[in-house]
Amino acid sequence: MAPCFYSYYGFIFSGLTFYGLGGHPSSARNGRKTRRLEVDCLHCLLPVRGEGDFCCSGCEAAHHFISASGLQDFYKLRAGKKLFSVIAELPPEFLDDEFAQNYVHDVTEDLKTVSFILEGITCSACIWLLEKIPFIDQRVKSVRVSMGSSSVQIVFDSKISLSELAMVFVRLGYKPHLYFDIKKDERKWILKVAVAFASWLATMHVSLNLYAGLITSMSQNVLFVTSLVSMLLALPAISYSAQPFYLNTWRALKVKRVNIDLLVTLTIIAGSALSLKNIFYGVNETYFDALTMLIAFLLLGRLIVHYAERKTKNESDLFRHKILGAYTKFKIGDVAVVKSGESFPCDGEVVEGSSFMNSSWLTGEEKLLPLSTGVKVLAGAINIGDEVRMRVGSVGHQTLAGKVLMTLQTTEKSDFSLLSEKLERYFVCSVILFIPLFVFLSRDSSDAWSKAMSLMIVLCPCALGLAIPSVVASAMAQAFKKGILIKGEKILEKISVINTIILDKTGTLTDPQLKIKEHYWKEEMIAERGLTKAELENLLSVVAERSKHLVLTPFKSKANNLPDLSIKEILGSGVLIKYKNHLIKIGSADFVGLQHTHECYSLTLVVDIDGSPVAGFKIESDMRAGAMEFVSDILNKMKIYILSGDKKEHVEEISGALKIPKENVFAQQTPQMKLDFVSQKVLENKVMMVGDGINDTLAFKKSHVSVGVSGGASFAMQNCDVYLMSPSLKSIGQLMQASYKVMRVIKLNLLWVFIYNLIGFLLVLKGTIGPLTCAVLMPLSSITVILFSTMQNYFGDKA
Amino acid sequence: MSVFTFLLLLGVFIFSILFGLLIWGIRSGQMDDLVTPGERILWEDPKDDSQS
Repeated sequence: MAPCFYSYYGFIFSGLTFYGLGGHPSSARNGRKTRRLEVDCLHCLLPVRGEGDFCCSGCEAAHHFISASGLQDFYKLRAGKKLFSVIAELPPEFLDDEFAQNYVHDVTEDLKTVSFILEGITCSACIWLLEKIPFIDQRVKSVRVSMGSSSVQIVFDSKISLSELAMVFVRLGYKPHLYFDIKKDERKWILKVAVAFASWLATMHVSLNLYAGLITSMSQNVLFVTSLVSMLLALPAISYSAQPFYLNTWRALKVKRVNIDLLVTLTIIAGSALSLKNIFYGVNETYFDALTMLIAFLLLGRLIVHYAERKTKNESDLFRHKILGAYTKFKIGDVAVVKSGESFPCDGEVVEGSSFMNSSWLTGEEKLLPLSTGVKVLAGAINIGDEVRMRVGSVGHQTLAGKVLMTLQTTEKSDFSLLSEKLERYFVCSVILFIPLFVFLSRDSSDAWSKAMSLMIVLCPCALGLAIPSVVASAMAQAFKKGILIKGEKILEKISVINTIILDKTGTLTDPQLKIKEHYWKEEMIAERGLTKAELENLLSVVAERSKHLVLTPFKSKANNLPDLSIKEILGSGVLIKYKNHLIKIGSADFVGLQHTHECYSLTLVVDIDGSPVAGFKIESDMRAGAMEFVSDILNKMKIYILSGDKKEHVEEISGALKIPKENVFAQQTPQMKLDFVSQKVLENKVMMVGDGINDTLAFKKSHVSVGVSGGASFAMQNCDVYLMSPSLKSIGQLMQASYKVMRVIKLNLLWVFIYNLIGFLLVLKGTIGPLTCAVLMPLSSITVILFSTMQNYFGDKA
Repeated sequence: MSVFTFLLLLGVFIFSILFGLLIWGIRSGQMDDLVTPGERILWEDPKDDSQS
């Protein structure tokens, strides 16, 4: 499957070179090399480091694809808005067709539908661009974007495979993820809230007549009819909208627990029963308006929180499917064929063929490992190179990845909500005991029931129920706009107490993409051999397109075809090229035969023509954007450690630049070592783990807060508490500042609710206010809390 | 009494209609996404309408 669609788009791409705007990058580069220090990427508008018009090859490809498709207006419509720089690549779930089909639904015999979550949607111009896809590829019938959830719903012809469909989005610069559309479930929630509000407002209108009847005289007939209508209008909220409270109460009681919903349920039942009694006894005192309001606001609070959480959820279980699912397909001793681009299904060893293995997501080490007969391979690692045959050594749960997965299933997070749950239980039990006691003690008083109802309304946790979720949901929504996905309402609370940060290096502190840091050209020597520098640049681009070597990826750009080119790749070493009667070697210094004393020996890549080195390149990962600022901001405020699977010298180079003390830097760490380190640190510290690969996920689960960074493995993304869509690590600093502010606002809200309800409680006991006044006062408290929470700028410059 | 009852029942009737419309709107997905339609309308052009 994979080679088919890659070649299909490769064909399109080769055609695009004729439509590209701005000419060949090398010409632009040469022209501007000396007169500009920094320019913005033509595609995403982020600063370009180094030369060229684009910040990365992905942006360049997206720009050409958009231009060649006649959709250049996208760049006008976005009006200078910067795009999120996402690494637009095809996520591995699309390569497993059997797995991906679980997300596809039939519309008709020929049409299917699927939903994707897209990384990279930033502004309304993205809607315009994405919804134009049917014009680019006729096999796509419609694309509907939902900015709120960063998702798209696609109707497509069954002739296009899911991976081809996903590649269209990748080519436009977005990273798609398979997504179960849960709109139907959400509609039920919206319906419940809407019904509750409609019911409350209608009941309140009728109740105004009843309030008027208290001041002026009202005949018993009018009172009866009006009260009945009030009950009728409240019925939808009481019987339908309040169902979640009844169900939660029932579930809690079944396991002999009490929760705050029990109090809500009792208030609704008691309020309805008392109102019904008063209607038939001709007393002008019903509580339907207060009850419906209570239901509406409590549901609203839960809906707000649900919305914020929904944005962060992706139920993909790809890795379990790929690794643990392989258990049924292979037995120990079987020989499995693994094609280029596929992941190894089991641990084992190569029995035939030679290739390379990319296991960076598992081990954290950037280097590609050469594979030949007898070399051990790991389940989940990607085969980069030729097809190989492997003998299965261990399968499913017994593989290294399987063990990681199993540990994840059994590793429990510490329960930070224990204290609040205990308080909730004590509060509910106290109210349940207090109200009957109060009624019993005031049984001689004529207004005992009225006061009891007032107390139940006043003590009902309407504003209390909103005090935390409204702040958290508002902060989470603001975080989402900043490119930070927070997976759960308690995460912000946890972040606010963090005092230790543990950072992975590869892909976390460093950019996942390799870049050319230094380059040297000997143009006279090139000219002596009848070639030009531009010709060699083009040659490198062609080789980069055809080669599996990661180190050549920075050279990928538009390349003109060179028909008389013969390329032979020497796995693990370099590339031999025959071109215009010259033998050109591209590879490491050892590969081209340089002596240790040669000036170019330290370079990553050397180009050699007929035995003479003519060009050299130092290729490295950049420091991730914002890493310096983030680390320098927190260096004196909390402890920072680096744990990396990479070699010591690479790790120390980064830690030195960041001024992190050497004793806090640990290299060549396995997932288990990372887990052990974090386990030890969490005993005395509040630990945040920041990483990007599966090798970090064990440590993720043990840490108090885990942060997955943009461009990481999808499995890591699913298992972290916070995921950064924005590539800059500065977001973590902003998030920490926001968490402090969130905690301050929550405390103020709780204080406000406590004082407000205490005053209400005392006024009820004194007999100053009755149920109707309570019913009017209650929403004021809730509305104040919601307004105060939502009007805060949690991610403001000054927290 | 009769006028008051009539007005009250009329109010309930109007409420029922609006309530029904609200439920229909939610069930048909009109509340699913409150952001995108407002943004989309800015970019729609006649060419799209004819082809979609």
